[in-house]
Amino acid sequence: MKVLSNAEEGSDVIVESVGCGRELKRRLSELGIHVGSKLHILKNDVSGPVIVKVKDYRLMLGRKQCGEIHIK
Amino acid sequence: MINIALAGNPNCGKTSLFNSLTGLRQHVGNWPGKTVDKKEGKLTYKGNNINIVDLPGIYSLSAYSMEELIARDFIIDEKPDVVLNVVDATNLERNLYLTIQLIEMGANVIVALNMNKYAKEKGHKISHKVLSKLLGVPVVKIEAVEKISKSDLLDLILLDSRKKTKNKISYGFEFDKHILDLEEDLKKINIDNPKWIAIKLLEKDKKVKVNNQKIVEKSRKIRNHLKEGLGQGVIASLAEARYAFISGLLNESLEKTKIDRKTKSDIADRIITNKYLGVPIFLISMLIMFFLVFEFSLPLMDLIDKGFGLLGNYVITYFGESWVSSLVGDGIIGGIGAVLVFVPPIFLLFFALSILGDCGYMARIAYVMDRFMHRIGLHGKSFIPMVMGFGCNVPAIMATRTLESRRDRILTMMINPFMSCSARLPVYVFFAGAFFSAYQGLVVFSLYLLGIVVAVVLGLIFRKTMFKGPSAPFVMELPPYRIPTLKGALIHMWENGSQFLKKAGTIIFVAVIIIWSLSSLPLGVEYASQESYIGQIGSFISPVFGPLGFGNWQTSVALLSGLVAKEVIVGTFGTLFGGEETVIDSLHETFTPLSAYAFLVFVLLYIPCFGVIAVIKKETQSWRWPIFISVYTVIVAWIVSFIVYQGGIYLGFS
Repeated sequence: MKVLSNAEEGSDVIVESVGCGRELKRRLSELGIHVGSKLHILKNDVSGPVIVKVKDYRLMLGRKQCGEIHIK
Repeated sequence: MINIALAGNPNCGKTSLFNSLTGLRQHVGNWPGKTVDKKEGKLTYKGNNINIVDLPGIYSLSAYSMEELIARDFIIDEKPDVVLNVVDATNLERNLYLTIQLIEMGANVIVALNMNKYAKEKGHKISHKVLSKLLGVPVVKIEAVEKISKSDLLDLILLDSRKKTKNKISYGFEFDKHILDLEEDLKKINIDNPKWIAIKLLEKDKKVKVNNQKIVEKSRKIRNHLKEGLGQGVIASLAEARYAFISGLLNESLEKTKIDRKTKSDIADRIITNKYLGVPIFLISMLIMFFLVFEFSLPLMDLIDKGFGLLGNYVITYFGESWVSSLVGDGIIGGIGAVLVFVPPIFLLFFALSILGDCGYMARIAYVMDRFMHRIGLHGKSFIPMVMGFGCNVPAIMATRTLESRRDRILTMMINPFMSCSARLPVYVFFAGAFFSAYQGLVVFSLYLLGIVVAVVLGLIFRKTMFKGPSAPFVMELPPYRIPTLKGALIHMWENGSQFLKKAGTIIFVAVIIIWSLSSLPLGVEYASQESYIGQIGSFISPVFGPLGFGNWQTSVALLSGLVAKEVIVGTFGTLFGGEETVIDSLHETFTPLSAYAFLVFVLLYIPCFGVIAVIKKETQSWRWPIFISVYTVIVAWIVSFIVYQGGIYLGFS
């Protein structure tokens, strides 16, 4: 299954599931990252955080967290 | 008295609005029992006294962080007459999430759309009238960065403070049905704000308690029922439902005329956060910043230093040599001078840092340095206090408040003092000038670098021992680049600078008096001579420094005085070696180049200063960490200095 940490830079993806802990899941859903939200991958180098565009703003997510966000 | 609370997301321009409404009649304190700043301001308008409280910048009211909890408790307990919700018009969707939650809570909300200029640039046409109708609260456009029509806004606040907002938000048929059901039950037992309580029961909010077993049981059943039907937790579904409501709102009220997705900030980010260019750009901008800060502050520091020196001497010559004149001249005036000499670099540094933050670059530093910080078990956000540490570790320790987890905060505090602060620079420069005239710059630079290396090594050790476990999740907004305003930077500089003066100032002052007393007593001894108490203490501890190459009592005394603030070390050598003319010669008799370098290494690494210790005590609310850091930095300083000195001898240096 594809996760956010290996999404291609410049691509558009849709969140399929968010697999992290309860608190973080709530946090992410409030920031606009929930099942079905559309993300544009602004930056994804081999290491370091991933920058996505979501709901018209830029959000930076740690690589570890990105490994828990499944996309399609 | 009309009470207003200002609420909004971080970076929405809330602080600028607060400043323009209250001017300088504001007061910064702490929330009771918390280390988060509480800003309050007053104004009078048309005979009404208005009190404005600036709530912390937050994304939601779920009590995820301390800031959110504070904002939420304030709205519930203090019931402000109006909650003025500042909304960034360029980013309506996410900003309105908080608005929805504020309305849910039953707050009397006015939405102030800010940054309209930027929204227009982006091609976003917003109808605030439609938005107002659909949300059921007044919506006005303001522009906090420029002059706002203050009176219009205040008129609206006066009018609205007498009304009550009605929650018109819909969460979709299924949710609405169950919320209404619970709401009816709650109404029967006379609970305030039943709709909000109903939602919170469904979200299983830990902070909301209802003393009615029947209703609690019912909410549990509904929750399970919803969970099955939705295939995921209620919290996530409700968040989605709020976003669905918002996108419905925006369908009617927002028109996007351009579909250009690449903003100017995105283009700038391609360079600034580039894999290869990111770090060099960061280093160059730091270099420029420090160069400017020191270039402007050094002459001012010199002036203050000389001014207080003259004043002190004047007092002593005018009143004759006695212990009273010495207390006033050397002790009190010297003490005030020791504090005030910090004012120029610290204020200028706060000014520069505030510009870095306001223009949006600080968040990019967190991105660029995340990779590096990960190796020591922290993430990019922890790097921001470390950058500030190059200026002064007192505000840097305060800046760790932005880190979510206590583990990350304390770990950052433990390694932060190894960043060479501006107070250490005069010592480096003084010794480098005396011993390494050909390689001054290189010597100073090597010390800055050594501080970073030691911080990294200790971070690695701590991560494997005392601070096991993962760092907090890294989730951070990258705000758009914006041109900072002079007024904003000045206010920020003043707030932080005066806080530093209050917190560190008193401690430095008291410490100076203690050092003075130890140098003057017992009565009749020559100031800071070997017979004085401080000289005796110095003689007693000096053998410890023997293996490091500086085991004489004068150096020990200088190190003791450096606990007040490290730049005091220079002055102490001046006093001990009889004035500026002879001090260099005496230093050459006391130190070899190798032992001078070992000494500088020790100065870099040992106990930062009383100010930092005090601020760590305040921030961690315990004596454990300040004591720990005092002990372990001395041990680290001794070991590294030992390696430098003995290693140097082994390699044939002297």
